[in-house]
Amino acid sequence: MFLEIEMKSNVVVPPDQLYQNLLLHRSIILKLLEDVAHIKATQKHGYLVAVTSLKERGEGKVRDFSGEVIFPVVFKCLTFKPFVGEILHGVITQIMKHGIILKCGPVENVFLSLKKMEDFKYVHGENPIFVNDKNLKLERHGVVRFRVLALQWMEGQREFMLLASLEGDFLGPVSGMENSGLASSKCL
Amino acid sequence: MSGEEEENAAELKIGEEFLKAKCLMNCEVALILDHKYEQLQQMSDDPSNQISQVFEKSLQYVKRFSRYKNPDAVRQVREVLSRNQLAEFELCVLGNLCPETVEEAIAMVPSIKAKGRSNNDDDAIEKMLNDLALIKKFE
Repeated sequence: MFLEIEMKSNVVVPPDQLYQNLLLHRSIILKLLEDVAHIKATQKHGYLVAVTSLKERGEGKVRDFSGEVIFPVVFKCLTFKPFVGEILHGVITQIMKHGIILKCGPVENVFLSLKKMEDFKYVHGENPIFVNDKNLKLERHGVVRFRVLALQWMEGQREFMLLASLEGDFLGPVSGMENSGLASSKCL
Repeated sequence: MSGEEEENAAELKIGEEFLKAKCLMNCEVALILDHKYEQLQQMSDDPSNQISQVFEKSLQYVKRFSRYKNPDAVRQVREVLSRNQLAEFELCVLGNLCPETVEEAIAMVPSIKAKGRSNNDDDAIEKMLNDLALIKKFE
């Protein structure tokens, strides 16, 4: 789910970008955006997508030796945070014997295990696919509606790993996303 | 995840803080990010410093998975959904997944059938889905 969350931070502006008034404001915003872009994600708030507004800017404090100025700021940030139990759409990036890898927005690793889509069978070939007895197909670049079964924060990569499931009504491959909405899907 | 209570979005257990946070539908995010992207092209000397991969992947995603593109339609969708006493989270799930039947809507957001919400009986849900379909038709 995309959320708008209030966050706090300290922005460090180097001396060569210290101007007055509006130009200083611009320096602070650009530096804040740069910082946020570098953080990528936090376990608590999810992926940091974009700063939507700067709410407060505190008094700047000069650092003794470098001449940099630190400004405490409060801002609103658009984030993408996956929740357990949430239903999302993902795009298939890889098909393997024991399951499927999907991507879902900023989340690169969503694993859908064969065990969580047991009515689908693996069909070997140059472009392997999964098919069920209603002839619904899971193939590369296809869209899938899944439920988030579990998630794990990977501190090293600063990202989330999701486990997906198709167990439940109205989950499965989705066709015709662009036009008439969702001509889906699986109904148990 | 906090250890106190197990997170489960289907039952609207997503933590107090996030329950109150403003949720956004994919179509709303698409409008915001499009605007941000243009702004940054003008504001920054080197926009690649400020536009992260997370930003780009999110923009790509919401463009593909937005049912409504027109800003007026997007506003109307939120208006229609807001009339139904939904939590922010529920509202956005419905706006994103665009269920076509009452049955599907309840499967996607089981909490709308939870106790003590008399306003959300099947007829009310059906009316809401019809209103949404109408917005799409005239977009």
